Amino acid sequence: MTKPLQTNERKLPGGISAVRLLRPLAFPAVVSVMLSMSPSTVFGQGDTSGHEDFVRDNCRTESAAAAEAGYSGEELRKLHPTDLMRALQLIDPSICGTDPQEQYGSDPNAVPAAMSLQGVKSFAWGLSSADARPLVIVDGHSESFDRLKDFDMQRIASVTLLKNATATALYGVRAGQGVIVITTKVPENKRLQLTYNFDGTFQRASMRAFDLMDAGQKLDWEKRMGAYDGNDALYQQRMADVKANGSTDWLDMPLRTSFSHRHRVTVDGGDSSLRYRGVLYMNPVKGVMKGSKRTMYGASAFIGYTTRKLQISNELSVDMADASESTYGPMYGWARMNPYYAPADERGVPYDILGEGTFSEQQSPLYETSLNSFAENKISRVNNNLTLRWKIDEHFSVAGQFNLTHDYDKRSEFVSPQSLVYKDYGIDEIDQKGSYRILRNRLESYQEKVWADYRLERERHTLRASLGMEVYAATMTDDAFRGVGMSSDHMDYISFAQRYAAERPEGTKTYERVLSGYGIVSWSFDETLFVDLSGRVDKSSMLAPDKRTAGSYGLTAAYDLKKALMGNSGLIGRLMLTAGYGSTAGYQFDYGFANPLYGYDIDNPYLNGMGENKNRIDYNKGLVTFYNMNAYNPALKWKTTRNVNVGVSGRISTVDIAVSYYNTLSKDLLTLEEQNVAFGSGYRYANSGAIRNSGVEFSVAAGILRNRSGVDLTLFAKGVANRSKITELPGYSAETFNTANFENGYHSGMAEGDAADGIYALRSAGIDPATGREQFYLRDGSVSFDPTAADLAYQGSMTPKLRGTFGATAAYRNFDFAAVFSYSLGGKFYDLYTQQAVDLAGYADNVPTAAAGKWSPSNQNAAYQGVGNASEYASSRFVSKRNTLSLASLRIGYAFPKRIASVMRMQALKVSLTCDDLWYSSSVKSPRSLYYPYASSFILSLQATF
Amino acid sequence: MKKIIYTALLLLVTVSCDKWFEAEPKGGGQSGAKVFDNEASFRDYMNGIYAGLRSADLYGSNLTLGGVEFLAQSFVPYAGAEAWSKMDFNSDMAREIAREAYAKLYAAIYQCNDILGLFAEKRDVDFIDGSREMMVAEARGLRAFLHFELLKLYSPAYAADNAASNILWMEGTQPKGTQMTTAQLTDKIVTELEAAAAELAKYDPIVTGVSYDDMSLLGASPIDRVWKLNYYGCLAAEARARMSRGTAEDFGKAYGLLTKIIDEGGYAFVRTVSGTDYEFSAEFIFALPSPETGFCALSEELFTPAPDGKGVTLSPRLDIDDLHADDRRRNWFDADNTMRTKFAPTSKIDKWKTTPAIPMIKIGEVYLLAAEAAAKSNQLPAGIGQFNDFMVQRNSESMKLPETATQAQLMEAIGKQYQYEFMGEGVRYHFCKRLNQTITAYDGSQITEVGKKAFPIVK
Repeated sequence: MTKPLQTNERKLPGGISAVRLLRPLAFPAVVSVMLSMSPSTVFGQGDTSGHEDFVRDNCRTESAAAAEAGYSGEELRKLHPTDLMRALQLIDPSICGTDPQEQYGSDPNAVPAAMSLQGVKSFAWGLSSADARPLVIVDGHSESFDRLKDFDMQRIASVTLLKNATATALYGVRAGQGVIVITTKVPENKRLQLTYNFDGTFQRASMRAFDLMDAGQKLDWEKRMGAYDGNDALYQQRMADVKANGSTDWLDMPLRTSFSHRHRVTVDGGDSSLRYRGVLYMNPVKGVMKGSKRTMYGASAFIGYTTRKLQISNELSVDMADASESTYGPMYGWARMNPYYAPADERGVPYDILGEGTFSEQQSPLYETSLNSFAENKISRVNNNLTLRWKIDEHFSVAGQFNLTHDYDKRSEFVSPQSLVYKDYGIDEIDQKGSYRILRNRLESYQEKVWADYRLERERHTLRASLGMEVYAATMTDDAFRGVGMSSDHMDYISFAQRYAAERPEGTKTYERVLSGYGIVSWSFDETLFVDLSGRVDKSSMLAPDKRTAGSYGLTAAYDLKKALMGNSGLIGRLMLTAGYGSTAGYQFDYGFANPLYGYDIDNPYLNGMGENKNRIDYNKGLVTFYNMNAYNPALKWKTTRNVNVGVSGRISTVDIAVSYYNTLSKDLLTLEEQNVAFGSGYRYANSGAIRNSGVEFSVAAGILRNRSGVDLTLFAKGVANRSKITELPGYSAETFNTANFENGYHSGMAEGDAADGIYALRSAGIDPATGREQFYLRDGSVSFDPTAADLAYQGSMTPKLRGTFGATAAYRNFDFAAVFSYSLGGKFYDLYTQQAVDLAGYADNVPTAAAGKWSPSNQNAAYQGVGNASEYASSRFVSKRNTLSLASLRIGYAFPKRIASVMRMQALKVSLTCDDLWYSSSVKSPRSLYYPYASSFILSLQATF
Repeated sequence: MKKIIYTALLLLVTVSCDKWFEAEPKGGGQSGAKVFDNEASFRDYMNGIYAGLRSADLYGSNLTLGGVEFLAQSFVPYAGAEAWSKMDFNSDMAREIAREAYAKLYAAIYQCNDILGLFAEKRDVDFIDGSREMMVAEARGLRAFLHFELLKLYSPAYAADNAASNILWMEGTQPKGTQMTTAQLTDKIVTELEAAAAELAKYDPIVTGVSYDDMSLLGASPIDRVWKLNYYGCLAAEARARMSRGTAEDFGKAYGLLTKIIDEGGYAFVRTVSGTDYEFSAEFIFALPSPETGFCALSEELFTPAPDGKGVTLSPRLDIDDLHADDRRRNWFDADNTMRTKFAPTSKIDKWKTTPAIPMIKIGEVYLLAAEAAAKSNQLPAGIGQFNDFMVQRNSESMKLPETATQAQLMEAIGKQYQYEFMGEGVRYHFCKRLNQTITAYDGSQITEVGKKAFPIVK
C-alpha cells in the first residue's frame, strides 16, 4: 500500500511536465506561483472585439469581458517584445514573490511548474499536479502550457486572464485553475504587405547578492574556527598559494554577456473575400549562463475565405526549438567553491579534484564543463486549426472548429565517462561509466467544437444564445531509456553505449478525454444593462469513475451607470458596475487517487525455490505475485471553486479608476482522512478541504498632460491585496504533512485557519552559547534542543500584503516612453540560502561573509550555529518580511515619419529600446536565484513594413 | 430546434459510451484493473495475497517463531522481550507487533475482498473449467480464516468472554464493516468456511486429483495445493473455529471434519529420517513457502549466542527426555539447548536462502484436535484412540494413554504434546488461550486466565 505523501513518486504522471522536469530540486517545492491578480485594464483599454469576421471562439460574454483583465498584444509587446510570460508578469504584475520558479531566474528553458490566478487554491503538499497550472486557450482551442514559453509575441492580438469562476465556468473542468485566453491576429483587408521585425537582445547577469568571502577572508575564517588546529602547514601553504595566484572568483566563470537576435517576416493581405498570411521566424535565444540556449524557428500559414453565408479559415503552424542546458550546472554549485583554489594549472587545464585529502576537498565544476557532457532538447510542434461558420439567416448561425495538435520533445543527456560522478568506480565497473539517456515526450490531441448561435434584436432588447458541444481527446506518451559504458569522452551518442543501464526502462502513457456541452444566454437592454448566464457540463476521463460528470455555471451582470443616469456629464466619462457569481469545477487528482493500481512484486515471488528445477534451486524465481498498490476512492469529487465578484470602473475627467473585490471559496479539496485500518488502509482520500481567497484589485491611471505642446503623460499604479485562508482541513492531513516537513527540515506546512501558502518553522530560542546548537521554544513555552512536529509554528503567508506596479507612460511627437516599477510589500520569506550556506555550513565549502557570525568557542554570542553540531530544523531565525522594488521595464520608442520611411521604400518604420529588469532591491539580502541568475535585458526592436 | 439540440447534447453527455472515458494509463510498472482480463492475473493476485502473509509482521516472524511462540513459554526470551513473553501487551514491543499485524491482516482481507469483487465484475474472462470457482472459494475461505486469526489474537477467548466486540467483519472493499461480538463473528466464520469447503470439495485438485495446469509451478496441481488454503485446510480451519465455540454439537461436527482429513487426505507422518527436512514438510496441510530468507535466517538470528545473535534458549519447563528415542521430533532439539536444526537450511548453496516453509496447519494438529473433539462430544474412547494413533505415528508409543484414561488425563497429555509438536510455530498459545488455561511461564511463575489475554488494537 502506498503511504501518504509518497503518492507523488508512485503515481502515474498526470502530464508531460512530470517527466520533463529533470532538475534536481535540492530545495523544497513550495506552493504555486501566483501569476496574476491584476486589476482591470487601464494600461490602454484592451480592444478585443476587432475580429468579427473570423470567429474562432464563442466562449466569451460581454459582461464577463468587462469584469476580466484583457490586454492587447501591442501593450504586451511594449513591456517585453519577445517573451510573453515576462510581459504577462509585468502587466498583471504579481508573478514576483514567493514562487520556487524564482530559483530559475532568466533561464531561457525554464517553464513554471505551477501557476495560479487570484491566490492559491490548492494545498501546499502538491499531491497532484493536475491543478498546478491554468488552462491555455489559443483562438478557441487549448494548447499545452509549455507552448506559452515560446509563444510568438507578434502573433498576439490580445490576451485575457480569466480569474473569476464566473468567466472560467464556460471552459469547464479543465479551467479550474483559471484560463489564459490568447487571441491571435487575423490578416486585415488590405493589399499585399511585407513586414520585417528585428529584435536584438543583450543580456547581462547580476550575481552580487551572494556576498561570498574572498580567499583571504575564508582562510582567516577557517583558521579562527579551528580548521587548521594541528595542521598549520596546510594553512601556511594555502596562504602562500593565494599570495601567488590571488583569489579565484568562481561565480564569474559560468556567466557571459549574451546577444540574441530575432528575425521575423510576415506577408499578409486580403480583400473582402480572401485573406492570407505567411510567417517565417527565427529566434535564437542565448542565456547568460554559458552554453544555455533555446533556438526557435518556425512557419505558419493562414488562409480565410468569406462569402455572404459562409466563412472558412485555416491556420497551420509548425514550430521547432533546439534547446541546450548550460553544462555549468546550478549557480550555488559555483558559490560553494573555495576562492583559495586555483581552478586550472598554468596551461589552463582545469584541476578535477581540489585540495585532495584535506578537510576541504572539492570537486571542480569547471573540470566537468571541460568534458563533453550535455543535455539538450529537440522540440517540434505542429498545430492545425480549421474553423467554419455558416450563417443560416440573420438570427441563426452554426459553426465548428477542428484542431489537431502534435507536440514532440526529445531530450538527450550525456554524462561523460570522465565525469567525477564515476570517480569511485572500480576497474571492474569500467563498463558502467558514461551514460546516455534519451527521454521522449509526445502529446497528441484532437479537439472539436460545434456550436450554434442565435441572435435577436427587438427594440431596445438584444438577446444572444449559444449552444455548443466540445470533444477533447489527448494522449500523452513519455518514455526513456539509458545506455551506459562509453569508453571515451567523445563517444557522445547512444550507439556508443555498450549496454542498457541496469534500471528498468521508463514509460508512461496517459489519456485525457473530455466530452462537454455548454450554453450561454446573453441579454442586454438598451446597451446599458448586460446580463449573461452560462453553464457547462463536462464528462471526463480524468474524473473519478463514480463521479465522472462535473457541472459549472456563471451569472454576470454589468450596468452602465453613466449611460443610464448621467448621460450628459462631462466630468464623468465612463462609469460601469459589474457583478458576478459562479462556480467552476476543476481537476485536482491523478488516476491513481480514484482508480485501483496493481503492480508486480518482482522481489517477492511465491513458491520460490520450490520448483522442480533439478539442477539448481533458484530462490529468486517463483510464481509471479501481483498486489494492489494504492488506497483509492472511486467517488472522489472534483474541486469546486465558487466565486463572487463586484467591480466598478470609471473615468473621471482624465483619471481612469477601476476597483474590484472578489471572494472565492475552493471547496471539496483533496485531503487525507484517517480511517479504521480494518478498511484495508489507515487513511483515505476525501474531499474535505476548503480554501478561501478574498482580495481587492485596483488600478488608477491619470492623464497629467494632454497634448500640451505635443506631450502626453500618464501616471499609473496598480495593486492587488489577496488573503487566503484554509477554512477546512482534517487534522490528520495537516499532521501527516507537517510531520513529514518537520522531519525533513522543510518550512512548508498547513493548518486550518492559516494562509494556504504559510511558512512554518520552529520558534528559535537562539544559539546555545555553550554548545553552538540552536534551541527552540516548545509549545508549552519551555526551551529544548529536541522539538517535535507539534512545536512548528505558523510564521505567516508568503503572499505579499500588497503587490503591483506603478510608473509612467509618455508620448512626444513620434516618441513614446514607458517606465514600469514593480513592488511587493509584506510577504513572508524563508531565507533558505542563508540557512544552508551559513547556518549549516561546514569548513569544506566557501561561505558568505555572514558566516563570520557563526558560533565558535571564542564567539559564543553567535547569530549562526557552530560547525558540525547544527540542528537542521526550519527555524524562525530565517523568516523575515520581504519588501521588493524593481525597475521592471524601461522603454523608448520612435516611429519614423511616413516621408522618411517612404524614402527608404517603406510604408512604416518603428524602432524601440526596451530595458528589462534593470534594477532590483529587496529588504532581504539573499540571492534571488540559486540555479540560474537573473539577467538585465536590453532589447532593440525594429519593425519595417514594406 | 433549440430543444432538439439541447436534448441531443444532454444525451451525448450522459449516455455516451462509458468505455471511452475509462482510459487507463500505462507505465511505471503499474496497471489499472484492466489487467484482470485473463486467468493468469487472478492467479498472480492470489499469489500476492499469500506472499503478503509471509511478511515478518505476520507469519514470517511475529505471529509465529519470532513472536507468538514466546507466549507459549517455549523459550527464555532475549533481553527486552520479557514483558512480551509474560503476555504484558502494553509494552512498546507488544503494541508495535499488535499494530503492524492488525494492519497487515486487514490489508490481506482487503485483498481477498478486492479479488472477490474482481471475480464478480469480470464475468467474461475465460478460465479453465472449475478454476474460477476454486479461486473464489479459496479467497472466501481465506477471508474467513484471516478474520479468525484476528479474533484469536485481538479478542478474549470465546470461553472467557464471547460478548467482546473487537473485530470488524469486512466484506467488500468499501470502507464499512460490521461490528460483531466474538459469538456472532465465530458463527459467521464457521458459516463462511463451511460454504468455502463445500465449493472446494467440487473444484480443488487436491480432492479431484486433476491438475488445472500441466506446469506444476502454477500451484494448481494437487501437490502444490499445500501452498494455498486448500479444501483440507478449510476443513481444519472450520474445526478450529467450531472448537473455540465449543458446544457439544460443535465438537461432534469438528470431529467429523477432522476424521475426514485423516481418512481422506492421505497425509502421513514422517517416521524415518528424511534427509535434512527436519521440518517434516510432508505433514503440512496448509503452509506458506518461505520468502527468500525466511525462518532459516530468523531461527539462526534468535538462537545464535550473543553478540552475533539473540542467544535465545529453550525454556527449562520442557523435558525432551519424555520423548521416545525414536521420536523424530528429538532431532529439533540441539545440544546447546536450542532448536536450530528444525529450521536449518536444507541446502547450503547460499547461506540462509532456504526452502523451510511456514507451517500454518499440520496433520499433527488435526490428530490432537480430533482427540479432543471426540472426547468432548461423548466419544472419549475414540479420542483416546486418536491420541494413541498420534503417539504411534510419532514413534513415542511409550506415551500412549491407557484406554481407561479420563478426559482430564487425555487433555493433559494433549496439552503436553502441543508443547513438542509445534515448537516455533506459534500454535500452543492459541490452544492455551482457547481453553483459558493457567500456564507456567518460562521463569516458573504462573500466568492465569490466558483466555482473557488479547493484543491491544493500536491506532
